[in-house]
Amino acid sequence: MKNKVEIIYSYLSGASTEEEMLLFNKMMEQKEDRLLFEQIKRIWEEVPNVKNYQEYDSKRAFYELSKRIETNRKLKRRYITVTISGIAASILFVLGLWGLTKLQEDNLQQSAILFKTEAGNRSELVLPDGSKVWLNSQTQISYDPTFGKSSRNVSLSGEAYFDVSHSNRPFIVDVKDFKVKVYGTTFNISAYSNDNYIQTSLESGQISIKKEGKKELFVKPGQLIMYERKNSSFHSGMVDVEKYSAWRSNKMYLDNEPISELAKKLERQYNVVVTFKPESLGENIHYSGVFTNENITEVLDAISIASDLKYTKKDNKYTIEKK
Amino acid sequence: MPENDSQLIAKIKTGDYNAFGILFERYYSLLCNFAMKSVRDHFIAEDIVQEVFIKIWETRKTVNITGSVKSYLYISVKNRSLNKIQSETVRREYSSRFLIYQNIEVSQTELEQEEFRDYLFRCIQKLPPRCKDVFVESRFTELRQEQIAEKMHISLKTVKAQVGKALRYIQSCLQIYYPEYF
Repeated sequence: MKNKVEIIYSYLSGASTEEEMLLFNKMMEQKEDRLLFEQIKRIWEEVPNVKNYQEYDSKRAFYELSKRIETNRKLKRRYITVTISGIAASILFVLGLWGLTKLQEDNLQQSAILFKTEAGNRSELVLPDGSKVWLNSQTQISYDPTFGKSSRNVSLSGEAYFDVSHSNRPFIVDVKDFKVKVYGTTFNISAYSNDNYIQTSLESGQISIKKEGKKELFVKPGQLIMYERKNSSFHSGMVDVEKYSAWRSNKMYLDNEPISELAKKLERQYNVVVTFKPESLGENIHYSGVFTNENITEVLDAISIASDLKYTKKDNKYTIEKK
Repeated sequence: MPENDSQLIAKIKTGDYNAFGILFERYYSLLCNFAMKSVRDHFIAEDIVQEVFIKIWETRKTVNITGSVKSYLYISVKNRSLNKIQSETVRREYSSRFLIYQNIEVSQTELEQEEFRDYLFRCIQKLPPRCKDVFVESRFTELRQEQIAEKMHISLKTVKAQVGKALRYIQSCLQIYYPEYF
């Protein structure tokens, strides 16, 4: 007597011999065998759906998740947020603010201080240790109430130019992907979370970049360090560093950059949306030049003339395409 | 008696991290395999499932689960997976055409199907090695019986016997672990 499941297998895979077919038909006359057939058939049909299944290690995952919860808890401290609006750069003396918030000593104990600029706004501020920071638009910088006590740590997202006062306490800028350690100096960091690159350029003094698991990287004056987020790699080169902090004086330098990069800068500076039709246009056309205090139409006109483009405007949306 | 899902949720609401761990381990692998259907990347799938659980823990005091915990989990994972795909698409194509997913649902039938597949996978994992190899060839590839025999240097009779044995084994395994099905 042939094995019943084997006969069903042959039938399901369409490979029955004449003998098997005969036996199969006979089986189908039995209620019990028909049930067996239905069960095996369901298994047979569902098996391909689990082809890519795998066993995930839930113990390891739970450990990871617990760490993530812990980190979230630490990050959730309350921030005292100061949103800076107003068109021109305004100096805020944090020390004054310090006195003001002293009244709420309890709050202050756990609250970090966070400054942020909105699109189209820039600002200049002085940290408790006397260091100056210029914030480009859509930038935020935060630090703990303990800032200055034993170390000077700030977190940055966006773009800022630092003029760090001399002190034996290290000044550290955390841009999430890595940390920049400062030894009294002037430098610029552009670390917008929607950019592919983080650019750090040093004007004078000395800084170093430390990414976890990598060797400390010392930066020389005049050097630009590009960090590529997608593959976590650093590239360096000598540049005219003043171009990189030119935004402080409302200047915009472009050095053979794809116009998609320019579009990002315009979006931040003028609080607009710039798109290309087709999208690849933004990558294919490069532009070099300097803009000083121009308004957005002047910038777009200049590029359009130079690269044979045209643009249309609807509300705060600009669409650039080939003429 | 292990605690059921609703009992675990009740404990989680009071801040019981241990209960949270039990619920997590009960569903982690299942939900990852489920997320894989839409995101097709193990890392992203695991990330999505972990995010769903993190959210449960962080909002435990206010989380309100109507219906079964299981369907809540599946719906959350599906939601997040689709959002992920959507935001990836947006990033790639910048703007214009992208879908907006609304009213995400996971039907009872879909849930039962997922559960069946999960048990099926576990039963296949339990097959004796040799038997499993032949079975995998028979169903995860397009090979015919004779081709499998040739490839694995065994007789046609052995192929039939091994696949027959595997099917019989899976059938009884499912009957033990998932009696609701048959």
